[in-house]
Amino acid sequence: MMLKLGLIVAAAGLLLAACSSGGDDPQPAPEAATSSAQSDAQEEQAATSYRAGQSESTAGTETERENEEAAQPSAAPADRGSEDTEQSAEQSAQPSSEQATAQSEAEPAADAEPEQQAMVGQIIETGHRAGLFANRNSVGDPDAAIVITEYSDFL
Amino acid sequence: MIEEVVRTGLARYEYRHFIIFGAVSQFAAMATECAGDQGAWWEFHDAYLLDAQARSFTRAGAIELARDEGLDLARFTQCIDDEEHRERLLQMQIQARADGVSGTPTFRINGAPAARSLSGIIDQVQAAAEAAETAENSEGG
Repeated sequence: MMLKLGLIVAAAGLLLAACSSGGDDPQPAPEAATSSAQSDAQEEQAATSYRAGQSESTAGTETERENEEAAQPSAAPADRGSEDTEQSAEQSAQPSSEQATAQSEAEPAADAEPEQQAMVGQIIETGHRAGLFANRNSVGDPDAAIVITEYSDFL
Repeated sequence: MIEEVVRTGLARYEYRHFIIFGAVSQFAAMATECAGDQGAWWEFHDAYLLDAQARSFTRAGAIELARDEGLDLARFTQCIDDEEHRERLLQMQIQARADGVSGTPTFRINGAPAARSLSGIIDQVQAAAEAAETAENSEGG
């Protein structure tokens, strides 16, 4: 009899313990919800700040582009006819020197073409045929057993 | 190719005109042959090959080239005006047709069709030279 009572008390004690622990469980849930909400908010904030940073960097790039365009030769002043004359004069003053540099660099390049051709001609003449027997349209040993013939048109 | 097989004495290289672009090409070939009369065949050959704008393909351009090369201008001018090498060019054209040439550039090795690449031609010449040497040795031995 006493044993049964003891068992009942123990069972009751277990039930109480179970109830008390089950009551604790829901408590962390709001915390978790809060933390997840906080993390969402943090992510959103981070995303916002990223977007803000991106837009800033884009704005920065645009500003840089504007600055670069201002530094560009000739085209900038020509395209912006409505700008102040002084400003365009300042802008055109700098590009014109750059343009002159560009032209001075371009001129030798244009002149380099004939020079290059002459150089190639010289290589052909002195590099490949120098010291070789050349007779009109043939070059090399006249007694060579093998003759390579090229049929070609200059054009 | 010149360095590999001509300078080494394996082969001789020969250029032949094959006119496919009409009167202008014909004139350039004629001018080259006339320059050849005064020892400037290759100088004209190179000048025409390098003249991307074809400035020298006119009579005035050819005379200018001849002046640059120090040729006798009267003799050169008479040669091109009289088309002194017309027969020579015609014979080259006939020979090219006989060799089966239909486009440019076309290479032949001892009259036989050559490889389409320069390295192929070099290989072909070297193989032909080795074969000739082997044949010569076997005859001698």
